[in-house]
Amino acid sequence: MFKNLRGIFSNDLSIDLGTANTLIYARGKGIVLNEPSVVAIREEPGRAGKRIEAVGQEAKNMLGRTPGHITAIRPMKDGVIADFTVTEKMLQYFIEKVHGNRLIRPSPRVLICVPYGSTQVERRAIQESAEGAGARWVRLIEEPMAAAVGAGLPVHEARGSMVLDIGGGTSEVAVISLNGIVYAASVRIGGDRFDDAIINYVRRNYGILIGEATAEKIKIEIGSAYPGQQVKEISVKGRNLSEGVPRSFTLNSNEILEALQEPLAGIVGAVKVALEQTPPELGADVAERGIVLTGGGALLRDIDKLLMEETGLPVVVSEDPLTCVARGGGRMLELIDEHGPALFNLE
Amino acid sequence: MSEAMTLTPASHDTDVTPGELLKRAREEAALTLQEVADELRLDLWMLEAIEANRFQALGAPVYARGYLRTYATHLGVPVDEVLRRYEALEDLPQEPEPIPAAMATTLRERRRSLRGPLLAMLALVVVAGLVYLALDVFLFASKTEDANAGTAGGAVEHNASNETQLPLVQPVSAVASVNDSHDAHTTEVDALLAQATDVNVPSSEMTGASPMTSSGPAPVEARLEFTGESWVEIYDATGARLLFGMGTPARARTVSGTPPLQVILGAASAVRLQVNGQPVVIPRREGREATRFTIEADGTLR
Repeated sequence: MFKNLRGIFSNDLSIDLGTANTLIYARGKGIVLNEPSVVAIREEPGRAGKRIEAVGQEAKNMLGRTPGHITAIRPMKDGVIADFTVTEKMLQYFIEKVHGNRLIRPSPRVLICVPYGSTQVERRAIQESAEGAGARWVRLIEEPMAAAVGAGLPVHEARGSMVLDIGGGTSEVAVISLNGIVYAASVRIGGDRFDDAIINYVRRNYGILIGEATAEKIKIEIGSAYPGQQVKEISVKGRNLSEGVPRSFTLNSNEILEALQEPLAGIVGAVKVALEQTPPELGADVAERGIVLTGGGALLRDIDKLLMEETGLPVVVSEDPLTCVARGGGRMLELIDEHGPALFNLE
Repeated sequence: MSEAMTLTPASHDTDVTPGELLKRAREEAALTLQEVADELRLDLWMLEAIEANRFQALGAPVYARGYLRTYATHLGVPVDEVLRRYEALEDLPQEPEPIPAAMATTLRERRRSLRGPLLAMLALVVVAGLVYLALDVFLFASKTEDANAGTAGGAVEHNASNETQLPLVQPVSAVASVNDSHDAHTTEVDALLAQATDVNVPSSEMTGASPMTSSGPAPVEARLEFTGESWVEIYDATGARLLFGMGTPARARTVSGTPPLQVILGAASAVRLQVNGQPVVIPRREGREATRFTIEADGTLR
């Protein structure tokens, strides 16, 4: 009853609860929040409890730089909840931040995007943490569908459209036709695996240890998926494992390309399997129109070229790929309001 | 050379469509459409459509923009420039509506059928709220009435008689004002006092008087003298509780209220009753101390 009353003062939200970033799309307002899914927790020795020190960007800046009594953690791993309570607190923080109203605790309707491959237990955990965060109505939608709607694919047509969403924790490839998913697969490879690959590469070849934040910076600045004409360089600092002191060194884009080969091969493999499994009629449609890339991974330089060479199909990067899933979820919220909940396969 | 100058994408010649821009760039690079198509894995007709600015043929905008971007990148033409010119075009492909019209109508009907029960429930809630409010007001009113009558009956009998006799004030004061030349206010007070003290004695005489009873039954006064302990409950016709409690020996209580009065006595043998100043015999059943009877307007017991 009170949740419904509070709901009058709340917006409808579509949340892309990602491993790397959480995006919130408020109905009628657009993307209102885009923050890293990181929470910093302070251990309080006097009391039994833990306290949230920071959430989002502020907490991300603390990653790997915290003293003993503060831990900066990422409560989502591989697209699913790794720490239930912290995820709930994070969601609550984000929902309240979006509303910016301290007087009435918000109780919005929420549509959350979950990876296609997530299990029932994992979905249940996400749903419950959203309810715990104050949402009065929670529905889950599979990420590839939201990504396709957000990218503006003609999902309702009797024509196959293929979307590849490369997120922080998972990559999802799906063939969609007539408002439904015909084939989808999820691999637990994403931006985080790219970072790990860079860390491992640097340790193996230089004997230097770098942190996650540095690895991500390297990936964003010089990372590429396909050999290009120009070679870029970046100077970074890390701890030399044998000497034990920080050292500065230079990496170039070809080295990073080499480092990323393994995770990229995993994604290409998933796309190839998807093409194999797609019914022939829809496969022909995909071959004509091509694959649409969404998600933060689509921003990796020349990843479209790599997929184009590997599959022999045209590959298109969508507009603003980072926000595609959240925008798609928001669009679906509007459609559900207009046409009823039977429209999409909601949970 | 001059031709090359016009080809430079930096030129702010907005008349140049994205198709023309790309076509010139391709011709400058000495590439055939087929070569580009093979390189980009696009069908030949798609590139022809782009160069002819027939973007509708390419389907959803995500594809049109995507192909434009790929094509521009391949030729080394700045992507932003091409997309800006693309946005400036007139007939662009429409953003797809994920719901086909036919499907939308059936779903909308289903939704409407859901709205009925919701409205009904809302109406029910509103009605329930109104009923509750009405009950609340009624109960509150009767409670305060109860409280007034209770204190009056229990403690000061005269007050009670004043209150219940208020309807009588009007005619009496009218008589008084004829007799007396005081202002209306003092007359009324005098009349009230007169009633409180001696109106009950004549009231026994006017039991048969029709002019008084026509305006409402005259109140009856009951005086209870206790010789022993007895439980007493007396209610008047309005349901007001006049007396409720244990009567103790050597004490007398006088109550008055709108007849008929409901009386319950725990030990009838320990009570002597006078109605309107006249002693009456309390009706009892053989061998039973407790009794229950009614005092009528004319002072009779039943």
